[in-house]
Amino acid sequence: MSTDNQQAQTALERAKIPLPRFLKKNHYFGFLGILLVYLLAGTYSAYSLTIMSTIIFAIIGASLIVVFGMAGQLTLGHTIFVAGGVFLSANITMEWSRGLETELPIAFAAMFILGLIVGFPSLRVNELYLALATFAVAFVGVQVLFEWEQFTGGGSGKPVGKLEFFGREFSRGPTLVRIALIIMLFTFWVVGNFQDGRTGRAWNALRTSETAARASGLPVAWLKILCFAIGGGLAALGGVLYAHTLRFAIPENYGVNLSIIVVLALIIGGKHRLMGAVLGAAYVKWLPELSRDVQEYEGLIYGGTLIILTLIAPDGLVGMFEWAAERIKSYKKSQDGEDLDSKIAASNTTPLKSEYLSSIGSDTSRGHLVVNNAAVAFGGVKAVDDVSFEIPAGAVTGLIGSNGAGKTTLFNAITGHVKGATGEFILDGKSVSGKPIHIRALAGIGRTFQNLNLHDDLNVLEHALIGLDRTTNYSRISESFRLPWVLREEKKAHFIAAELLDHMDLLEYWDEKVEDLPYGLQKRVDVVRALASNPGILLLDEPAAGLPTAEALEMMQKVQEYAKHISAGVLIIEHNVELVADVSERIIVLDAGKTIADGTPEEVTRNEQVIAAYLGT
Amino acid sequence: MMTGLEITNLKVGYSRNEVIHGLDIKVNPGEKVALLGANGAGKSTVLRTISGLLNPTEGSITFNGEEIGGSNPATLVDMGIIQVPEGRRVFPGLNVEDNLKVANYGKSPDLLEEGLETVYRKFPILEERRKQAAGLLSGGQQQMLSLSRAIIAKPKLLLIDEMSLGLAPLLVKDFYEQLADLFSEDVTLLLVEQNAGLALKYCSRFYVLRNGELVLEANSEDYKDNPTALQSAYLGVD
Repeated sequence: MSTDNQQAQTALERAKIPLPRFLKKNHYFGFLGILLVYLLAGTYSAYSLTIMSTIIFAIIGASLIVVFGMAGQLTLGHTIFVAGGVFLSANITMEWSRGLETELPIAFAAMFILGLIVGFPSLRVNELYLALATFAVAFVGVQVLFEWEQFTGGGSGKPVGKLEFFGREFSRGPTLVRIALIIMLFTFWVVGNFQDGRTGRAWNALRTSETAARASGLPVAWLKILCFAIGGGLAALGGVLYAHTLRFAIPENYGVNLSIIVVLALIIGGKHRLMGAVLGAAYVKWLPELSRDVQEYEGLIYGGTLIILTLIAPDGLVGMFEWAAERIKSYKKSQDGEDLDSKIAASNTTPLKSEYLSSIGSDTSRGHLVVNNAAVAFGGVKAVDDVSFEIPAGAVTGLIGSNGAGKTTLFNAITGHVKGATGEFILDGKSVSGKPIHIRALAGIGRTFQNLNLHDDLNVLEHALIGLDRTTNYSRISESFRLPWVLREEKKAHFIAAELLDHMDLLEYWDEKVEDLPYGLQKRVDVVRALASNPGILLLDEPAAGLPTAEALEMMQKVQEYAKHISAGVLIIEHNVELVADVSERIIVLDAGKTIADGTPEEVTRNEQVIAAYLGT
Repeated sequence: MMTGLEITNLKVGYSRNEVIHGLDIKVNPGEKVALLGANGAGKSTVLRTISGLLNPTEGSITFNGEEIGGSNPATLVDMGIIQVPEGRRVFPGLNVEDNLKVANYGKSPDLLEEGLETVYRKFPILEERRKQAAGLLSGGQQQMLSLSRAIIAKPKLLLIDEMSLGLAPLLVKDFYEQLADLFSEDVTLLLVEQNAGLALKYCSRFYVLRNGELVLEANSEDYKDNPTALQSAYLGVD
């Protein structure tokens, strides 16, 4: 490949970033696997009960991937959705004499709505406390089932009616396995589509840092509730199948025990991949089949496996296979003599290729920010004390001051990250005072964090895509079915992300997890995420900390270039005064929460008060 | 035997790839030496290996004649090898004073009194906030706290990663000028610093690292008036 050739290519092509497609390689494997079981379903009728429960567990596992794997909400109350599916199925078949065509949609819809309610505690509590709260939900859930005799038949349970679809009756056995496989295919398709789309990305983002997710304009509260609703709806489909497999619905089966087993199975299999749901289901369902002895020591074996896995493979069985595959791949690469570092031609400091990016540039300058009487107090300490300033559209302004002067707190007041800030904040004529963080982000306030608020286990490209969520335009419903315009929008986002990474010299690291990158590069990823959100004004909190001056200058030039391209204003906190003076048209100096100077870099650096309080001689 | 820090043919790698490819560094007792280089050159990796957070794959590290490569970080702290990690690593849930007390772990309480006095004299704001959770301090104040822990720990060999990170210029200057006062006269210092100007001003010698290899070892005197030469060593332009 000649250099000219590389110039002509887009960043996407040069970095060989795979584009979102309708069908991917693992889709084919998945289809093939399901097709195989479909065709062989009749031959192993002796095992059809085990096969059925494996499929059901895989479906429940997939629904848990949404809640736990992606959104990171550890729930121990997931069985109530399964139970909901089971008893709705029993009632619909017995009382209404209707078939699957009614059971499936009603079970999904009802449990979707229940999920909206069960999801509420997640807004208040996290991790262990959420696990406890949802554990209580499971506990209460099963009690309700016992008491609500009309619906569940109480302790003695309720029989399940015929397996029908639009009046056509099916025999159970292999046919039921085939029906289950089709429902599993549907569930996996939907969950897989979320994994590849903006909602899945948003869930992954909030799992690792809610604060940063909000700053990127993601509606964290809604996303959390939504994951319970979607997960609940999908789990209910598994419940319907459960009802037809057991033919009898007994409340006792759907207690906290089952809740824990389904979570356990998913953790053993691997909670980030659909394959993990399958492996986990197979593990807990087929192991007891091996011998009676295994059944006796079930708890011991699952518990032991879990302990061993958390020690050696936190990502479960799937994680183990992926690790092995990666080992083989990198070994092959080293055998081929391919240099890992030079996989991408050095980004030859080309100017910003705006023709590729025109889609997000806007015509007029933005970022006219007015701050009136901003004040923040922590206890008795006034961190920000009546600060007012106005930044004209498109300007680069520096914000300096001694440690603890209130610079970061002022940022937090503008973005909404600090509670109890008073004063008025107006961006481009619209007041954002008192609004939640993500609303301000959507209004055009972008920011980076002093203390690196990245999504640790996501890669560099995904960070850019999270930033781009604000400008990506498709509904979650079309996302769940991977409709054509979803792919079109995704391709556009990938394209812009790659160009932006190229511009910021991060392209060669696009598939590295950010936690593996050196500090300085992580800071740059933070900047990229903020730039990608196409902000009207970008608040940079010490973006160059940890960078040598020359590198910092180069980076700031690139940021400025890009900001100019999208007509954004920049407000920058930085202790490298040389750097601030170089890039800013104007500098504001804070000391003990008050503005002590405001002017051009020359004026400010010569100001005696600033020298005494901050610069030194 | 006081021979200071001696590193010979050091190689370090993370899971997949080698990051440091055979490094020789020597810091004499009481000497102040800087480790410079572009972002990602491997400077932090070197410090983290000396302090025992990473294991060398090859080569040796000795301090005053004793082999310390691959030792347990806790043992190294007992030997007086103290690292100030990059990026404000304080214990956010502990209050300021408890953060400082942790640094005195295993040492006599009298030493703590003395250390606290030095720290509060140097950073009065920390005394003012001594009962406040460290996580509530501003970024720069957390860096002060991080440095203060090193003062309390009474190091023989001090490794500082990005000391000026997020600190006001005035404070940085102050801190460098009072190194001898804050620590003991004979503290041996190896520091990573992005601000090459500062490093040259306060360190007698420096090493420049590029892609895990040494590309320059020189006396600061020779480069003080010639920053461009240093710049080219950084970036690998001849």
